[in-house]
Amino acid sequence: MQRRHWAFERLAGVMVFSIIVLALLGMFSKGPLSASVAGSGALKIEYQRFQRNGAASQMVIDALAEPGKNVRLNITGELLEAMTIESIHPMPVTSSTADHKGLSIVVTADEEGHVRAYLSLRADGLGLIRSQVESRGERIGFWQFIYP
Amino acid sequence: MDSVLRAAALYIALLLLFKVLGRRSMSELTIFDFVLLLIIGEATQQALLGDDFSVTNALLVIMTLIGIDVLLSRLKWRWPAFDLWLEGSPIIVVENGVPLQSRLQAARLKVEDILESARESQGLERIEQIKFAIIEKNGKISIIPNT
Repeated sequence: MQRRHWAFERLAGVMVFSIIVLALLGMFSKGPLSASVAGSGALKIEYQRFQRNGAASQMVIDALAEPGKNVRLNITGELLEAMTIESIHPMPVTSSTADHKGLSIVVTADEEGHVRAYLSLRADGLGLIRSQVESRGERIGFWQFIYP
Repeated sequence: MDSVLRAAALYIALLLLFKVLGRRSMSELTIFDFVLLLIIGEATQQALLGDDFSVTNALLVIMTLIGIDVLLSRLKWRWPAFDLWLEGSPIIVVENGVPLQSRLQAARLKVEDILESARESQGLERIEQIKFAIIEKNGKISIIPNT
């Protein structure tokens, strides 16, 4: 019986060790496995693929636009329901609802026609969520997973 | 990634800090030591969890701390030299009724403390009745009386 106990202890030790290694690699948010980039060129999103409920993270939307002009960014899907947007920098010129449940913000591009919007998110939901970001005809879908 | 690194950094920092504090504080807690430990606990908790109160984060931190503990105990078992460095060895402070003053001073102990322990554990009255008084790794004082 004791041998079985020791064998179980060894197994548990290996499991804990592998979970720690996975955590270091970013399986549970914030790490190489979790940091992702969706899209390229005209629209790019940097985000954390894995999130934890209640934890803060950052999402960056990189878009090309006409220099000095306003550009509309639409965030749709489950993102707004599963996460709270704590702040958006630069502050949007206007914001409104997009596609019934999403968010549509208008931000101003710089002189080179580049927009980089930083969103502070705090995960509220649980499980798999699918979202989309759209700008000037480009549309990028991505998924995230929120741990309890 | 940050949960594991935070937990590991704090564990190692606290380990080193308490090594500096010395052994005595670990065995018998005075009021001062108790207050200190209480407040250190509070300060550590904030640093460990940050603003992330998810179950996942808590579990990762706990697993990391336990994992480091198990790892260190395995290393100590494998390499006695490591054990010696980490925990030290028992120190004889009284030999055949004669207190070794330099060691007592280094351990921040007085002869009265040794006598108190002798009374408690063995019921001895005088220092001449002590063959050996040893400070163990965990800070407790063991008394071996003259037969």
